[in-house]
Amino acid sequence: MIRAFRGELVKLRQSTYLFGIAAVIAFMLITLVVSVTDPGPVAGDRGPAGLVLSRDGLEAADGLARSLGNVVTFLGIVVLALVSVNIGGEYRFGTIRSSAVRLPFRGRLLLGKTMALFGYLAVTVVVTVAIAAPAAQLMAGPGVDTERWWGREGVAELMLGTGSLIAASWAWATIGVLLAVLLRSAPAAIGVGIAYILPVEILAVEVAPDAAAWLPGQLIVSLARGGDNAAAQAETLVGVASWATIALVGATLVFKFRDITD
Amino acid sequence: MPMDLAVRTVGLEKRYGERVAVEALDLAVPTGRVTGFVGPNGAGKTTTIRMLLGLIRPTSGTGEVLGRPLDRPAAYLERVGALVDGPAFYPRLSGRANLAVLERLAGTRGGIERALELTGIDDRADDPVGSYSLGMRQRLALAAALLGDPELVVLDEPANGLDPAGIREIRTLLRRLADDGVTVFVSSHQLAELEHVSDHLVLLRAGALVYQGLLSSLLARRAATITARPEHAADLEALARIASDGGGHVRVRDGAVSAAGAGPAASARLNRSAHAAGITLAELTVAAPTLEEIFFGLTEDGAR
Repeated sequence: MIRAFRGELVKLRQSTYLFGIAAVIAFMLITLVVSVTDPGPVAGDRGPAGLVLSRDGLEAADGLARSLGNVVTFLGIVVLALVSVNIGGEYRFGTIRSSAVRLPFRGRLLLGKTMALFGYLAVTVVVTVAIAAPAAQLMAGPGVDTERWWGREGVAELMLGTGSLIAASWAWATIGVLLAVLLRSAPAAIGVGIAYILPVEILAVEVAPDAAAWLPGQLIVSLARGGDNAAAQAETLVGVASWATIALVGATLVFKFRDITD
Repeated sequence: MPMDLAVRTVGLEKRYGERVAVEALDLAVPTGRVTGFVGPNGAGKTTTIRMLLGLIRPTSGTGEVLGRPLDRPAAYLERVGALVDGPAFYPRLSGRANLAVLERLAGTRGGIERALELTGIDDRADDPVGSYSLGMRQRLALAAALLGDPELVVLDEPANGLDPAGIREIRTLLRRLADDGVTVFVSSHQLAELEHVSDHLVLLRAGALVYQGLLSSLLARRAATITARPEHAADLEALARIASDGGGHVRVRDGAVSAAGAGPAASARLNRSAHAAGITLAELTVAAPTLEEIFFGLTEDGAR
């Protein structure tokens, strides 16, 4: 697995992955414009653009962390696209053949690649938060009291929120890995993944609101946006981890046992 | 004495539903030689190579590669270098970086420069592969196959896209590998190239084995074509009669008599008989059959 991880690090030098970081930062800044400028007296749900907190909620210690979490849907789109391009590209370029000959332990090959992508995503989220947090301070302007964001509790919430965003990006990545391995095509995996995140799950929740408690996309969004209820957050984390494990195990089994004919 | 084999399969078969891609293949690839793997498109060459490399699972059959069972490719692939179904690289990465990915996957190190040098692309190694010509990608794929000093090199159509000079270089390289004790198993539809470089040959048609053995044995199986041109055109008919008496398929064309499939001593016999009949030969040539002619002969008439 370490061999695959190290091999993947060379691939991650490609400009595509720098553009990926830039895209996440851009989406984050757009989200913050919606989330932290000119808050109203009551919270409002803007769908994929996130949950805009009330002024009181925004000025709370976790106001910044929860606002940063609003990027999770867009983060999911970028992550799905990058992971699909990474793994779907192996089939498109035929590099999956040479990789599987050089490292014939296919489970280790896929897991090593996934771990390297996880590392890249963690760096992406940390860099994005490092840029977005001071940007949020500037966007909030003098009209919003941000003193509690930078207190001990606020910084702890920011770190927890960053961790949640990293976990969310990893969960999206596992879905991307599964789709790319199943479909063996980057465009197909991106299309199916984004269609699932946006219209399919949103419509499913409209039709059956209770489904939000177990649909993978809804759980990931809920995890990243955080909340006051620690017990509910822990439950959400277990749900996300379960889906991620199912996706990763499924992808590994398919990759391990299916002939490589591309 | 049994031959030392790098690859041996028994009844190797791959089916996709009703379609048979490779049928009951008993393959024997000798160690330390260049073995040419020939067949028309769709004959099952690439499928066979993929099975040997663990990329696809055989429907049935057994085998060994470098003394290890075919169903445990991880046990032998670290000693195998391969080019399968054309060059495959990350186009935005440089040639050197592409090789670095493969070297890291294999868990080896230090072989990149030598592989680049052997295949003659060291001067473009830092350019993105997307800017390479097909011939350069083919060379890079060969470099990739040579990483890690493999004992067995499996190459699927390595000369595709190369110019004549490049093809000659590849031929020299394959010969040098075999001289160094590396087993080379190379598929190609460029039969003339295999004729120049192979010691051993495997011919496949419609997934089934047509011939395997020494190239020289195969060439000897088909007799040469003798062409005799009399000094005087008036002797042509008489010369054709004499040639017919020697056996083989005789044809008169362009003022000459050609006898295909005649035995090894036929040219001397024809010369003697013509002389005895008072016919002076202005030309007497013996043309050995090319591998291509033999190949088409075998694959078209289904001979084994």
